[in-house]
Amino acid sequence: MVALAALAFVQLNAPFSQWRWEDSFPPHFTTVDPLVYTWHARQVSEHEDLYTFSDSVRGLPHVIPTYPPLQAILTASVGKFTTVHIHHLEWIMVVLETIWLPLLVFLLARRLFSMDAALLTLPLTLFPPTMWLFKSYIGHWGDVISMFFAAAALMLTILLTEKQKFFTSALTGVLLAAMFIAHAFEAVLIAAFTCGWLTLTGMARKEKRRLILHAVITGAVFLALIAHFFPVVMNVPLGEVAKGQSPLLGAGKIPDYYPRVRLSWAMLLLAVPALVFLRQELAKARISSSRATYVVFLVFLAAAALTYHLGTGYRFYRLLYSWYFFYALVPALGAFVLLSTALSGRKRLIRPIVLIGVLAVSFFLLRGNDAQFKQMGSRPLADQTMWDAISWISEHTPKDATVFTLNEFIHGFPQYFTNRNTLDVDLSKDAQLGNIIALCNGTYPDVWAVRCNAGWSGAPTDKDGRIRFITARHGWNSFLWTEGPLCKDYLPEKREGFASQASYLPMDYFDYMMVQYRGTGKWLGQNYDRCMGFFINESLARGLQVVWNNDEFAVLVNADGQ
Amino acid sequence: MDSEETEDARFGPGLARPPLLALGVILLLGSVAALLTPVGWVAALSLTFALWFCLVLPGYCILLHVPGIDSLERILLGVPVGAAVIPLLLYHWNTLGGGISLTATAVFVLTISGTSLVTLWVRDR
Repeated sequence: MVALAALAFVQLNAPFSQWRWEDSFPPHFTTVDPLVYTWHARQVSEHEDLYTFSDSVRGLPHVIPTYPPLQAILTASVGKFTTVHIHHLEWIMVVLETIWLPLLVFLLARRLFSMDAALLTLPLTLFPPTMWLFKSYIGHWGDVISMFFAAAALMLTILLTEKQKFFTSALTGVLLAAMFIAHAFEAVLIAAFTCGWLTLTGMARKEKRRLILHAVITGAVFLALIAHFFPVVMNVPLGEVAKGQSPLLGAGKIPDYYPRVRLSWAMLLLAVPALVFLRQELAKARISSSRATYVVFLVFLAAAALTYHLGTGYRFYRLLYSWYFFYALVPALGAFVLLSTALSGRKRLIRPIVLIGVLAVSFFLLRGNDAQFKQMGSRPLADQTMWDAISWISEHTPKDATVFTLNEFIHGFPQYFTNRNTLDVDLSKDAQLGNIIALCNGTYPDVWAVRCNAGWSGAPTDKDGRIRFITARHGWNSFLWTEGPLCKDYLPEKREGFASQASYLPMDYFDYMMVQYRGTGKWLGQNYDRCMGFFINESLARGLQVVWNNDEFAVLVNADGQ
Repeated sequence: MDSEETEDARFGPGLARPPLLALGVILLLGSVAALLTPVGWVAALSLTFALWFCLVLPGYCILLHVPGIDSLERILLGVPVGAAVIPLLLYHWNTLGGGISLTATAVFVLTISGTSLVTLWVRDR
């Protein structure tokens, strides 16, 4: 088990980290979400404080994050005891949480059925087809840590149905609270399941009052521990209301880049003997409360996820990626039932055959995943030349400098790692793309259409859709918030000829500009960027200076800004 | 098809065996990483100690008070328990003005682990 878990860790970590654990250059991520989580952990680690969030959030020195912070606190606290760089430690922690969910399912299978059935879950959960690991490699890390706690909470719920102890129910409440402060959405569902199931089980038994009391204790500990954070996180739904989304359910449509989940025929067929076995137990009224809890949990999670098809929103669909790890116990049990039936007269042969099968299936699945993860890790969002530019700004510019990233051609350039007030161009918006088009047409714009997001991929917004940051808290549900000084006099506007909004800033608004002049189209086989070349030459003619450059990037300083 | 035998924790020298065995296993994995990959010895070994100290140790000690589970369950289930308890304490400590620092983390881990062991000793005395 230890060897397979270690292999599963290497399978997911190494293609992205490239084993550069002590290097500040983050792992090779392919989307902006992992970089946001990584940056968040670094902020907490550097400041040792959740509330002095960043030097670069819209010109504000003190911002209370509405992001669920538990992952960042966990990484920052572990990081105090190791020389592994915090940027890599965050990814190491997420991979550990990813592979720990299978280990907890292994424990469940071992407790509910047998060691052999548990061993058979390992290859299916530690080396699943890459789509089931989507949330880890794409950066839905709140979901990952949340479901890691969910599996532990399920195990304690099962223990509670067997032996009712107040300490166990309180500990279940602690795990649910950790889930909430790690990612609120799943915690609400799992808390409803835990308290609801304990109550239902109690009502069906003689010890009715006792089990209901345990459900109440679990719920009370959960509510007491999230009481402080709850009003903070409620600021996120306000922004979702402004975007026309349901605060509980989020956006409705599954984004195109999400892999659509599909169970293999082998997994479905292997589940049949397991279902027959469970059906027989149910018919003989021999099914234990532990097994019943597991089966009901599986059905509950699947039902919640499938409400997506009733229009509840893709956050529910995302549950399916985690549901798989719990479901994998069923085909593993099916395989074990088949094996023990076939070898009913020779039971001593079962364990060796199980071990050989586990190793063979593991290595078969690992080979397939290895190639796919290596391919993902080979096309990072930020490479070393970009990171050098970011590091230079972070180390050589004044802390209050305003930095403009002109050609943020890939979604979510990790410019917030500069820890400066940053502005960028979102090339999915036509108004902001106009900057580049003008340069390519040989026109130096008078004003620059920018996104004033100040380093956030999605800044919190109020119920009217305005960006806002919480700077102080006066009471349990009383906050002071501001839009921040950055771009304050340049509110987003829609100009004629463009469908999207932008803030239009004069050149002297920025102190520094970061420009990529070569390699912008490297994935397309292009090299020198003539549009950016034009920009640099015209800027030099207008008195700007290149203060640093490497083979691909240049940093220009605005003479007025010095 | 029966589940594995479980045991309730009793205070005694045997309690130290599972977490020390877990430390040995992850130190071995850290050493393999240092030998076979570009990761340095200091990084690999400090990481293994950090994971054991912050996650395994407090989680294992807390689960000594949960009846009906065995040592393997205490170690594996102890990791999410440790990952929940210590950051939750640090979160609330931070709201009171304390820092998420090395000292605070070490004090919380040692206090939680020590309290768990002492209460177990008092119970079994």
